[in-house]
Amino acid sequence: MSSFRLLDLMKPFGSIIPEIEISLGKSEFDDKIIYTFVSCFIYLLLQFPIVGVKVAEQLSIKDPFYWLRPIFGSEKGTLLEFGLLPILTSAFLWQLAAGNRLLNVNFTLKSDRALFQTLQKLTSVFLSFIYSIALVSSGYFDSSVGNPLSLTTAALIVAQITLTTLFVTLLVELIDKGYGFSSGVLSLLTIAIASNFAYNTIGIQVLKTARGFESVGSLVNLMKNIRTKPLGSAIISSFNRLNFSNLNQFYITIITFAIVMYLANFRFELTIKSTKVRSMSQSYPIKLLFCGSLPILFTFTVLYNLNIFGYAISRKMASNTLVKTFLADYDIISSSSIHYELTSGLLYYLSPSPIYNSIISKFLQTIIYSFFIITTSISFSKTWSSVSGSSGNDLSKTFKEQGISILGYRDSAITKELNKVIPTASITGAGILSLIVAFSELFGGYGLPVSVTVGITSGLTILESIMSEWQQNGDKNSSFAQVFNPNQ
Amino acid sequence: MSQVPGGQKTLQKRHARAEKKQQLSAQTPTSTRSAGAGGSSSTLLKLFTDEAQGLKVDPLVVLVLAVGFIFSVVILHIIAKLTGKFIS
Repeated sequence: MSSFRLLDLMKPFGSIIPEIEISLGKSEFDDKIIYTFVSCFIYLLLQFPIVGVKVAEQLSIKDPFYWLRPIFGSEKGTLLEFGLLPILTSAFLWQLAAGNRLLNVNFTLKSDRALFQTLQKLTSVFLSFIYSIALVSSGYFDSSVGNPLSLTTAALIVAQITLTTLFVTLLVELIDKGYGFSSGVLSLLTIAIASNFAYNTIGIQVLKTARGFESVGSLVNLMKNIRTKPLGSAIISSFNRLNFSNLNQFYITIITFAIVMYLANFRFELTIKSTKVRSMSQSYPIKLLFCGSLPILFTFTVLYNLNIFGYAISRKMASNTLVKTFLADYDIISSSSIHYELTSGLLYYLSPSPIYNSIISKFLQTIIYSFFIITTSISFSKTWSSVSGSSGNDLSKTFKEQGISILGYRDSAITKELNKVIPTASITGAGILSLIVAFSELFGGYGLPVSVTVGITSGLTILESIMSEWQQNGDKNSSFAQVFNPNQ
Repeated sequence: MSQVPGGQKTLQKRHARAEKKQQLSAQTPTSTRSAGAGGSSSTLLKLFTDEAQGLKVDPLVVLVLAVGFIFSVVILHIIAKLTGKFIS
């Protein structure tokens, strides 16, 4: 090997990094259900308060990332401080790098694939280490300003978060490698998003805030307000509270949910026929949301990363006006608020922050934020649809192997036809989805509608693969047969 | 001179086509899925597909260890509460 490859750096780590063995036989359907449920349950259990921050102080951590958290299954002040962000970042980073041939890797070799996955795993743990150091050093976990953590406590916090990411990576690997259904990241994400949405709407937990005791769930809060306050102010206060989810968010989320569900059914149907059997034709759907929720997920992964480093830098150089005006400035608007809001700088324009400086800045924010979300999603979907192994070329190769051709096209024209349909579908789908997301955020969704968009699309994808597996592998010895086949 | 019908032009065309074909076949796949080994598809994001040579662990062991990790954090909480250490 004459040239230097980044992948070769992974060789020494190969023997130290824990690696889940692939089962020799195919996993049973029931086993898969159980493994998926247990791993998702453990993921939810990991939302456990971190040691080093006083339990009572957990609410008082001022959260600069609150509008990004629901999308990544992360909870502030818990072991899942970053949720699935490190794993998603490393997966997107390396898979796009390999797809664009920036990383020298030959996927036809098994050894290269093994090294590539070690690279992804190591990167996600390393990223989590970097993030936690950035947050600890910027005073995010300090109980009060000017009262920094001791060195041991800081080290303990970093160690906990990094170790958690290692375990989450292993859970993802467990599901990915065929012990669970389809994709590990998306399974964990869907569960986290679902539980988070339920917690934000019907969560009955009561927390003490500056405004007295408040219920977390927006609907529960409405009920409680109606009982205790006069009707008008009860409804208004459940619409405009800022610390926890409000009814406004709830309605936007429900509307987004409905639109995305509707969009998920849009498809272009190609009529395919077998080249061996005559007069048999079937339809092959190319979905409008060809890339599912991945474009949105990628865009917000970029935003979360920018915000973590933006926050750390702006805290570190709090006195530097240059950083404040050009990069980011985080402020608490009212003393009762538990969130930091972006008030100025580049990151303000890339966020749906509710701060109102002047009409020009608000206008610019709306334009730039929507533009950023839409262009990033579209350019990602364009790349992803061609590199992810579902492009027209790959699909036509599969068709040829299985003896399928499209009705009305010659064999040689299939690739051309698919290459025409697929990029169009994926780009249009990503554009529409990102437009909806940008709107819902700017109307005050604060992450909840985005999380539901991601959750519903990935949930449907996972369900699809579960059902196809169910149909293929039969229901001989499954005790879940009743659930999936109510007719029998 | 040339035995090819159509002369030099055809030869050039053939040459170009052969070159293109060779280039295409020399290209490595862009993802694990296009190499035929599973992995991320258009809608699914997958990280791990193959077995690397390393410290092999059974999936059950991973689940047990993860629960063990959570318990160790619980115990750390208790220690921190009792000794008053680690809390700023």
